Amino acid sequence: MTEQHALFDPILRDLSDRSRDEVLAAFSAVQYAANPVAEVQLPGLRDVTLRRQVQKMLTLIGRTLVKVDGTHWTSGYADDVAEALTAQGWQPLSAVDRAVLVLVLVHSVAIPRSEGILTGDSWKSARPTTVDELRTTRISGEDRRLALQRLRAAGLVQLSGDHSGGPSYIPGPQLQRLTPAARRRLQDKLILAAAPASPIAEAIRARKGITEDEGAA
Amino acid sequence: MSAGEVVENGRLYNALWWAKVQSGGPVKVPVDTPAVAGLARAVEPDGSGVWMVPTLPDGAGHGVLEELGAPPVAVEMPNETARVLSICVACCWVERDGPAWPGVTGTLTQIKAVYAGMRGRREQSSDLTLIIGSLRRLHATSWLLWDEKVGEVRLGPRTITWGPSQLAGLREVCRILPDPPAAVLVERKPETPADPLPAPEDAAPADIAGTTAPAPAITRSDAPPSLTSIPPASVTSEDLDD
Repeated sequence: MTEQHALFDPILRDLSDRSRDEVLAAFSAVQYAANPVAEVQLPGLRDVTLRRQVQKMLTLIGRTLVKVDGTHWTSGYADDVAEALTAQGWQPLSAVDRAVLVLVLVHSVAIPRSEGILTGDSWKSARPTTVDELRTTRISGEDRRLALQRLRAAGLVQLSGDHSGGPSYIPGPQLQRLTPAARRRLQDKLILAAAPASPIAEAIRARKGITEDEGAA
Repeated sequence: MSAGEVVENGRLYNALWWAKVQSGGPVKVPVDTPAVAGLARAVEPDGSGVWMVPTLPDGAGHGVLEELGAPPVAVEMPNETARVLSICVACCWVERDGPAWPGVTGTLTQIKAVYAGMRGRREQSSDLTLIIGSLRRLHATSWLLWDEKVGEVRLGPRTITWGPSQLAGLREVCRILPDPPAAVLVERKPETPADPLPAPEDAAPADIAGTTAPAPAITRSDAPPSLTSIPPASVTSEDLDD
């Protein structure tokens, strides 16, 4: 006898035992695996009807399915939920952690993308950010080290395989959980922060209907 | 969110709370906060609040990942971290016929003693680095509540999700581990002093004083976001969530 779950039972109780197992396996895989999982590997993702049940479970907890590279799935925060939490001021990462993460994203993704080395809108990159590139007078070495520890534990950054010049970092697997809208928001924010006077920043402000002062905030 | 919004949109209320505990780890809220479907409530023994902790249906969780060959986000030093968690369970879960939460307060002195006993040797200075690192990781993921300033630890709110079979396994672990020495806790000033005279500054027990200043290489970190951060799954800790 399976114990009932107050939130998910209304979805699970109408499924056969086999479908229930397949939906729960797919739900667990997209929620807890570090990397996106292959659609072909899981009936709960392969079968459209079962996948719909997985999506319903995720919706109940503020999340949604995210397709990666056309063949894999993961989960991320639903855009409306992320927007509502941001409006409430919810922010689980400290300012130092966010600053270090942004430096990794700038060096590993934004700069290579502006140089045409990276294409697409993914935040996955093999271009390592070195410790030297993370040095800034605003963050002490000890704070940076502790922030990197926390970001690695959260899967937001990971060690690069390239150790030729000492330890270096690349974006972690969690960045693949960003929805298309979240990827675009992140890109817009980085451009507004890094090059507020550029034509592309002006285009972003025009699209969002904000002024330069608001964009810089 | 206002009470009116809660009534109007219970589904969004649930979804937002779930998103919070997935991104930031279990959240401590006032005890009169309305219940959220699927989130267990771990009440602080002093009534100072209640922790909201996510629960999953049977058959969901990290267990399926191994079968799939799809590992979760890795925990650094997983063996050492699991050892320190088991030691803290032995120190803090003293009423082993009942649930683990909330348990009692344990000390760094106890943890060091059991750690050395488990290794079958005397305490070594290098133990502290490994122990503190593990305590920080377990605190960040809410398996423990670690107060580095005073060197005291409690079981974290996630332990409320441990069921009978997990507790049975932990009882066996506690049986195998060396018994911890008695805990000597830091004396805390009562909020309303019974005695108007100032307390002597060196009132803290001597053996604890040493634990408040760990090795210089280790400085206190603010409670980091749970890994469990973006996805709930942060640490394989479920097995030890996200």
